[in-house]
Amino acid sequence: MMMSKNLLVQVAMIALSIGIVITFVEPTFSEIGELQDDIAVYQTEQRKVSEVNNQLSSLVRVLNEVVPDDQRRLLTYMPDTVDTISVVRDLSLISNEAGVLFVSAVSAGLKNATNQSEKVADSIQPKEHLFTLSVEGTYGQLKNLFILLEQNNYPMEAQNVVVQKREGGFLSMEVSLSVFSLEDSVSSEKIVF
Amino acid sequence: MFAALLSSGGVFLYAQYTNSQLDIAIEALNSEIGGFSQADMERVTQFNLRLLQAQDRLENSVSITSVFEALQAAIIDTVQINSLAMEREDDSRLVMKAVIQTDSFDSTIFQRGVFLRNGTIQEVEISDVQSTFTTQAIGTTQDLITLPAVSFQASLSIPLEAVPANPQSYRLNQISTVEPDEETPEQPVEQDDPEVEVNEDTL
Repeated sequence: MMMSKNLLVQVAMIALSIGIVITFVEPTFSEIGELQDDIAVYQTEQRKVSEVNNQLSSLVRVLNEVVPDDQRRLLTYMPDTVDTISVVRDLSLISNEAGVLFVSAVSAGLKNATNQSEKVADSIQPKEHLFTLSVEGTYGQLKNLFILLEQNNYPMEAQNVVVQKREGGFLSMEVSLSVFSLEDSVSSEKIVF
Repeated sequence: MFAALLSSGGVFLYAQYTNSQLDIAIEALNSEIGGFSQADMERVTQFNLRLLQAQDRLENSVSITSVFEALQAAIIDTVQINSLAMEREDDSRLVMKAVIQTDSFDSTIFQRGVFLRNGTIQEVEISDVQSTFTTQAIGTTQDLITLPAVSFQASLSIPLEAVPANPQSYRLNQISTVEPDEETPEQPVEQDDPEVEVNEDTL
């Protein structure tokens, strides 16, 4: 009788042990596995964000190392906006300096910039502002005009040039010039994690 | 039974530890995200874009002066350009249409050969060849004479990379021409290569 009671206790304990393993140990192990997977995912994401932050910090350092004069020159070369009156004034001043007879300079509005190379085709295109300059002068004076236009602090790209011979060795010229400004829509593209 | 209880306790404690590790990982990620500066990102992106666009325009800038010089180098003495229209086609080439006058058909043929042999000018097409007459003044008198002439239209193209703008070279030239003699009055900068025989009266 005593022996059968011990046997019953042992069987009950074994059954209880099996029950504990099945109902607690095994599910907890599975849960721990899932938690470890989650930890790995979070750590990977944290490394990625950390790399982005480090890269951004180094870029900001590089940006801060650009001297203000160079930043100002870049802003002049590719400004946020183009003041059409200033450009017309500059064209008049350049014409006078070149020695040509300044006839007129007018703003011809905006043109969609489609002449970008493939490298920047996917990025935001600059606004292209068209201006038409009409002058008269000798061949040498017209060449001087282009030399001065090419030395300008911001690009004045000649898109069309029409030169006509006039009496007395003079030439009349009409030039379509493009002046560029940056399309300011980067700030609208927020980066959200 | 004891083994089952011990393993249960161990598994419970390890689960607690793993949970705390997950909390730490989440906190670290949030902290890293919090360290990201949107303003810095916009500043860097804006600067990069501006630099990229400026570089692109700079790389595709051309010198019309160089185009004139290329034309000068390719025009023979007996030829005169009556009108010239130049158009930039994207960032690839400049297309020119010139109405040209010569004194004879021989000069026209010779001029065509010079255009074709020129290294800068490409895609030469001569059309509308016409025999015509031109009036010219003789010496200092007001007498006009009529001379036979040949006019034609030349369509030419120049790739942009053949005439890149190099404003720095103008500045260097200006410095070198002004520096030797301070008394020298300011002269317009000429880019002529003395070794190349050119027709300065092209137009």
